[in-house]
Amino acid sequence: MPSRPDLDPAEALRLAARREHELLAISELSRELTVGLDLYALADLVLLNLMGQLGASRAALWLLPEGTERRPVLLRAHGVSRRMADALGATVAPDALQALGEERRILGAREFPERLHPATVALARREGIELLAPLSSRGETLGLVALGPGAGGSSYGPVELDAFQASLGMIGVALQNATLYNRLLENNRQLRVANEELTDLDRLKSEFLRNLNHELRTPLTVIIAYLTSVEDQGGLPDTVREFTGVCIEESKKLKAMLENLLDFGSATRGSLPLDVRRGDVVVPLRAYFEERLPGVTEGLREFVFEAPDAPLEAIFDRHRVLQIVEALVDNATKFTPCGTRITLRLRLEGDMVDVEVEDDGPGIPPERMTQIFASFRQGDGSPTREVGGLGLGLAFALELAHRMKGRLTASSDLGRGSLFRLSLPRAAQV
Amino acid sequence: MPEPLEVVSGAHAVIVRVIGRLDAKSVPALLARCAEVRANGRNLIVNLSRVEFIASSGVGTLLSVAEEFRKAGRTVRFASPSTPVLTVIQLLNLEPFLPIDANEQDAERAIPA
Repeated sequence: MPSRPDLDPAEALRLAARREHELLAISELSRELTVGLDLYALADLVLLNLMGQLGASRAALWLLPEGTERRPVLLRAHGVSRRMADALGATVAPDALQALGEERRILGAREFPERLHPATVALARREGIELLAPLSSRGETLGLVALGPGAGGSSYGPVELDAFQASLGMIGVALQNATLYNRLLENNRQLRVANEELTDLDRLKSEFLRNLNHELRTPLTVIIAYLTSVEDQGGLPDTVREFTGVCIEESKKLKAMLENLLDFGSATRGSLPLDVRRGDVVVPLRAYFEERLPGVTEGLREFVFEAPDAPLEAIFDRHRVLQIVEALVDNATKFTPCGTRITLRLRLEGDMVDVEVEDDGPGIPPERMTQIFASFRQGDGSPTREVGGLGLGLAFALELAHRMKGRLTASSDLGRGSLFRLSLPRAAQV
Repeated sequence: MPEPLEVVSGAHAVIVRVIGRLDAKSVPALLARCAEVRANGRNLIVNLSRVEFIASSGVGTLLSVAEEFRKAGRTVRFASPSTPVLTVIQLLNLEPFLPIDANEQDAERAIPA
């Protein structure tokens, strides 16, 4: 730091110490940004570091979602009302943010009116926001960071703004890397799930063939028996005998074809068998959560896992429970907006172990709730899949739950969220 | 490794004692515990005497906790900060914002009954 002749030695020392603190904070930030891939946890660390670096008691971070609706989505807020921060993000015009991102410009409170919508300015003032800065990386604008004033009452000088700018650069790169890596992990997961579902579909196809074969072969056998009986009777006109013979031959050909089908079906049969065992539900679902986390947070929905420290022993088919939970989480991410919090919760409830998927999204209208487990069923009651989805439909999830002697229920509070609960029989205590 | 937090119930507040490093690894637990105290409508004393190192995220956590309690109309006090903590609080001029007491007893006395 260049020495300034007008500073007294004590003040120069204080400024040097302050500068050292900011450099240490940036160095800590660079380490902390490698901690994990959960965008929400990263946002927390980023904000707490910036607050500690600059002595601010308020901060918030928004990210832009994928797609055409490019309004910033709030990830985390500290010392700022979450509701106000949500609203503030929604008022930021995409083109204004894009322009700030291209300029890499930190806006001070006095500049807000020139660059931002009056509604954004009003909300920022109400929440005591002093600085608004775009987050960008490799030419792409990713989001927005807000900081309140220094809690000690001092304003931000060029040194603090330099440190803030340096931090923003690192944060942008880290968030972009995390987003891209999460997307990669999610794509891999979707491929694996799609592969598993193809295997299931293959089994369903075999089951269908077996059923079809049985349903067709039985009447055909009866037809052949009656035709043979007719042929065996004497005194038939030649034409009738000839026609009967043709019918018997063709029926036998048809039967042979069906038997070939039966062989094919038998070779691959085993339609969705259950492997119900006693075991801990927490371990596989924690592993599922960790695998699913990147994809959910990459879509800018917070994903939370709540479970007791002790094992929860239940009687269940591990693979099928994971399929049901995947269907529920998949629905929660598809039918809620960005910024929604989704909780995967495990708990003991009487003689059942409950696996809950809860969201604080818009909820499900009552008229849809009555149909929610039936909407993907065909007229004959056989389960089918939602078009375009990778997950099993809720109707099938319900059927799997029943086959494990469990229950699957849903409740929703319009405007406040939905809760799906899979209840599994608790294993008897030894 | 010792537990990073000790929690005891005082007369007018819940006392959370932070032990060891207050950094990116330990702040989520402290934040969660403080949020729980706030949600239960209790006041809070954070004892910082055994903090050996405080990272910027740790300072940010203290500021966030202070602001959230202030907004919720509850009281938070910071008792006997260790030298590393006190140094950074003074450096950033945070004394007016983070109410500091010499010990837990003084902090208890400073909290309105």
